[in-house]
Amino acid sequence: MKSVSHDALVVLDPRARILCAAGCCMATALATQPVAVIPALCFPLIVGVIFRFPFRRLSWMAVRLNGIFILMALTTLPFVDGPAWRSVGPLTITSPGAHLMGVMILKGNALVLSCAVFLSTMESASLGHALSRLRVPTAFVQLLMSVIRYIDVLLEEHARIRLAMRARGFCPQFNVLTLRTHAVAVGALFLRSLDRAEQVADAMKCRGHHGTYAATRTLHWRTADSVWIGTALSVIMVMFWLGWSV
Amino acid sequence: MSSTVIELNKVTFGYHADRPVLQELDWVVPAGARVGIVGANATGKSTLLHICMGLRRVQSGDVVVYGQRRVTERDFREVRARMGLLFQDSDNQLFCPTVLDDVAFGPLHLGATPAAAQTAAREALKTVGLPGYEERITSRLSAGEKKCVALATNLAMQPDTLLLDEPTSFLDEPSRARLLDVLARLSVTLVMVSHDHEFMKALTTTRYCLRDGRLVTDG
Repeated sequence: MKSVSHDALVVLDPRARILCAAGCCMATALATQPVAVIPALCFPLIVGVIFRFPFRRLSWMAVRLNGIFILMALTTLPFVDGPAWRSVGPLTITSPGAHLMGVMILKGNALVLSCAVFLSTMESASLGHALSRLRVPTAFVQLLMSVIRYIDVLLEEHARIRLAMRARGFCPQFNVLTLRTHAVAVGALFLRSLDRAEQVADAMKCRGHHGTYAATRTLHWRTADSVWIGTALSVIMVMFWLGWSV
Repeated sequence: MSSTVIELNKVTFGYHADRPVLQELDWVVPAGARVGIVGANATGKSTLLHICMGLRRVQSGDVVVYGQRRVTERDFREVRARMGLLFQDSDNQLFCPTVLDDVAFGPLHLGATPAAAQTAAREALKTVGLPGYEERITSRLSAGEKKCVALATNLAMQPDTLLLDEPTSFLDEPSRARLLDVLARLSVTLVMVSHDHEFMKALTTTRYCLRDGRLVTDG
């Protein structure tokens, strides 16, 4: 999530982007046929091309995200019970296995692509504001914003603890002492986070916060947003139609 | 405006029942005063500031702020709208993803419109010498920048009193000098807790030492 965004999709209202992503993801999750997932792959691709989404950066991210998942699908799913489809040496690939593998790989990529194109370049403040305006519970929005803000601080704290451990001769090995040391480090991180959370709550109270989410930015819904929502709905309808007609 | 900003009468507070940090403490801060508090670690200096803001509840005694006895959370909401607290660790004070959102947070929650809150935030950032930092990511600022942004979050609410908890902690010399310059130009009631004696001498006229749960006049 970038906080300073230079993406062309910024012309769309953040609410429209969230709705497009959520709609595509939900329809993708419900799809059971590979052909029904293809529109969910094409739609964000087309949107990305129109709005000059940095696909080069995404390709490396997608490889890393999907690598293990695809490897697991390739090595396990094709060999589930069912009628044989192809033989690879001593192994037999079954029809339902190949079908399942195809559906899962396509669905995984469609989900990553939708979220990446519509959401990944959105300013974090805009995301929070848009979620709040879409009537997502305030507690959830604030939790999300806090995660975005404090993930770096948490990582820094973790790095400090690791450094302190190494400075005192800690060298991870496969033994009980290493496990116990890691448990102590996680415990320390948890306690520090708890302490920080209490102080952040105090800081929020000092600045007049009492449970509501007030956004700094204003949102403007334009005709283009309605057009893109309409297009997303059409894509979803096509997905359902393709799924039923097979 | 009341002539006394803070008045603590026989205040006792402790994190453990058998070990009070503050014991029957009496303290008066007149409006316009510039007060410094020194003391060893864990003597309750930060706790004292938190009590004034209503972040800790006293076990006995009276907390009178802006001429009224304050007891409940509701009582302290009015206090927090007029009194700013600069936290020791800026990472605890800056909880929004971008600088503008953080500085505008206070005015927004005091009822300002988003446009007015943004204007107040930009003004406050200009006051602390950080114009153009609006879209910067809070977690990626230097310690000195974080401290100045944290001060701006208070200034955006236009407080008439500022409580500063170790304002120079984690700061290098240029950042410290910049903070000193900003604070010296403010016309507010100032209460400062610090181990930095030079910084305190430059900004305060009355100094106390917190010892054995009580405040005693220090030099």
